[in-house]
Amino acid sequence: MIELYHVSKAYERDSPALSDISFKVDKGEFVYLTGPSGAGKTTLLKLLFAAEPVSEGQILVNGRNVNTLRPKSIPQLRRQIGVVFQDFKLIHHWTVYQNVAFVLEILGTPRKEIKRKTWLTLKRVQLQHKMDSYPLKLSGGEQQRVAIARALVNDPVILLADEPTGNLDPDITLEIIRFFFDINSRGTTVMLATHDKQLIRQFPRRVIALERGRLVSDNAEISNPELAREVLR
Amino acid sequence: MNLSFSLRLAGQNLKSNLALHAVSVAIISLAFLILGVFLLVATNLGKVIERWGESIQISAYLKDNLDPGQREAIYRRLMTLPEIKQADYISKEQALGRFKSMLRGEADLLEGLGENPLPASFEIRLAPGFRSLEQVEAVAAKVAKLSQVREVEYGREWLKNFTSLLRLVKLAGSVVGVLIFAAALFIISNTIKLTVYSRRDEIGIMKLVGASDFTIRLPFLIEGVTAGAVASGLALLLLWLLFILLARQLGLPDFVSFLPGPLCAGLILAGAGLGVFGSSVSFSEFLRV
Repeated sequence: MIELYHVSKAYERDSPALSDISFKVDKGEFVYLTGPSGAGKTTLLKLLFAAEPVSEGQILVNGRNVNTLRPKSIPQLRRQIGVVFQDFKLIHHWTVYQNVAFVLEILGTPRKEIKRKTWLTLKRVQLQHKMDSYPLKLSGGEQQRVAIARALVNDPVILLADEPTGNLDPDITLEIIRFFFDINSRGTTVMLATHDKQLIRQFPRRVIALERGRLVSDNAEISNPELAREVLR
Repeated sequence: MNLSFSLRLAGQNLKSNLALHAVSVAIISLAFLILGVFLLVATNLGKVIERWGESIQISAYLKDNLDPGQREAIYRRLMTLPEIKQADYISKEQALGRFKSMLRGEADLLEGLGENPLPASFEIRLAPGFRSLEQVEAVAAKVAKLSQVREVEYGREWLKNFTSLLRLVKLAGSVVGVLIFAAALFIISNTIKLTVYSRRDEIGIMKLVGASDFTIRLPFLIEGVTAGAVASGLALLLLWLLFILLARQLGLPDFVSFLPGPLCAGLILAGAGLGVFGSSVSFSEFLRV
């Protein structure tokens, strides 16, 4: 589903943000991307949805070579990937409903279908009663659930999350993380960037660790949560 | 992705960014108002000059004792010249009558006059666009060559002054016009740029969820057209009210009028066009996500 071959990324004049990263994530996997701030987690995710160009190496996402995508095809790639950010990135002057429905509008989905799917997805994150509210009237946890609903509404094959709980209380964090596991259990590949070790210990899964732009560990063999729990202990 | 969605989105954005749009519409209106005041003054000044220009005339004095056939031939000859708009025949008697009325109470001065010494003439008025000193001189020379014409006369000194005044007004008008137009363009494009800039996050988010550039751009363009047209329309309305008020207060002469219809339509179109142009130019900078 996600394949990286010797990927490097350098921003102008700076030392490389990522160097020589290779790994493979299979369909339906749940992967933590971890490492201290500045390790390159955000950069790596940005490469996956073509928000930044790759400097060296190859990236395949759901069979598409991200390097050779023409600018016109980038939207097509992004429509298969749901992305959730630490700062939610909601449009403040749109209602909750409008924020989520927009993803379907750009696909040209019929209006009835948009209504049905948006409502169902909001129900899934338990926000159907806040459909007509504006994001800034909601709590942080609720806003993040709107963002998750937006990422899920068109059934993406991949869900990327960049520190989705970074701004949230521990209680809310658990609530949000449960959504990601729920989504994953329905077959969506999830890649979740976090530096929250507590979280990883609590819900062990495969962990890809970055440090100063390099891949320092990848316990790819731990696909079984039970086994992971043993190892991490 | 369809037009009705873009229209809905544009309408919704106009509503939710009302304060922002109101400010930019007000600024753009002001720029258009300044431009409008200039155009109003310029077109009316042009009319004043036009009226002066109409009084330019060439008198072609004819030899005595021409029969009506010869007179008619001269008339036809004159009217073949494209520079000539009108040529009026003034007979010897009419010339004397005019002279008498000019002298009024002192008509007895003419008592001793035996034969009418005044010649018959054609008073020639020139078509618009042929009223500069050089052109009048050229026409006068052509007329003077006609065999039945004795002498040609035109107000050379007056015409000289008129021509240089006309040039000065035209030059100053163009310079001021270009400056005002440039300033208006600058203000308008920067206002639109700021409007788009203030919404760059929104544009970025739309891109991240996979909206194509066109999908993002279209509602902004619709908003741009609407804001631009409303702004220029508002400016014209204000200008018109100002004009009416001024006309009532000062009692402007009849020939002074408001901007002609096509120019008003042009201004509104220019507003809409600037809205599109400004938002699409400023847009390209923020679409690179």
